[in-house]
Amino acid sequence: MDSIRNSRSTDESIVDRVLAGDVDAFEEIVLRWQTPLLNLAYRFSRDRLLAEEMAQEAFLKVFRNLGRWRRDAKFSTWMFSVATNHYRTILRRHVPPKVELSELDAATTAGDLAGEMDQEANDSIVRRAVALLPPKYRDAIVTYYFQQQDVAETAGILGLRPGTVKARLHRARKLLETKLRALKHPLAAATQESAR
Amino acid sequence: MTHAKIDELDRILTSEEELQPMTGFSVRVMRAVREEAATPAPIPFPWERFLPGVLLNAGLLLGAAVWLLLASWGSASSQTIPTEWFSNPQARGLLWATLTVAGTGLLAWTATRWASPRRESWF
Repeated sequence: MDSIRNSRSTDESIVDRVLAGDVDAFEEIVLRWQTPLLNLAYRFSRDRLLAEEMAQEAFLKVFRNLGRWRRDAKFSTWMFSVATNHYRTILRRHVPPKVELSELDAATTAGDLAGEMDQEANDSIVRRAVALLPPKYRDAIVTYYFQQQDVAETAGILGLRPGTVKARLHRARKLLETKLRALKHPLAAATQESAR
Repeated sequence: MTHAKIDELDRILTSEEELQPMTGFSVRVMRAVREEAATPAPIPFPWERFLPGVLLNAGLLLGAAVWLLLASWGSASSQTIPTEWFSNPQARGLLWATLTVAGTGLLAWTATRWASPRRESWF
């Protein structure tokens, strides 16, 4: 709890310094948050280079809008919200999905789904299938798992009510299941067995 | 999804390996940030000057439209313009062209006048 409070006050004090004109202080924000912002970008894009570019631009957006951070929300919540909006805009307007269903299909048929394909490959297919979900479900599921399954935090970042987040997560899982079943993925296969 | 499947999905989506930024990432970000900070702030759009002009022109256009409608229906306004004008396509075209030119001229005049630094004290 103390570490959370300290982290919050540290962010606040750094932001205060930046707003007072100390641009170099922003480097502390970058160093503190570069890994989370990069990983969030990667979960949206599934493209390493694009993720770096997206994260860099997200930091610029955060810098430009620092003065708009209302202190009633945690700095991290606000920052992830700015970054998520930016990532969504980039993926919607400029970049087609990097992962195609046919690509996943090829990956699943390349190995024997009954047993030979290793766990990591299967997990990777699930993660990449998430990127193919319709944006509002993708956003909910990516943010929810990125935020350690915290519905309230996810709602804060996406600007939604917690009930809406839960509904979107439920729908996202259903869609994901349908996609994985089409690919004869073990996760969906297990679903069918357990449903019987 | 059953609980077992949700648990499995949870495991897959929470156990992702963490990426580390490439070397020099923060340096690149800070370079961009410093460039951004060194760039003068963009001049805000002068809404307080722009809006009155837009409203004035909208009002003029609306007034002209109402006036034309009344004139074409033979109301009191029709006494100022002969109704046969509206049955003559050439006269009608001329009227519209005049109104368009006058509107454009007025808009240009308003914009130039209000954008002029000498009129800074207006608002």
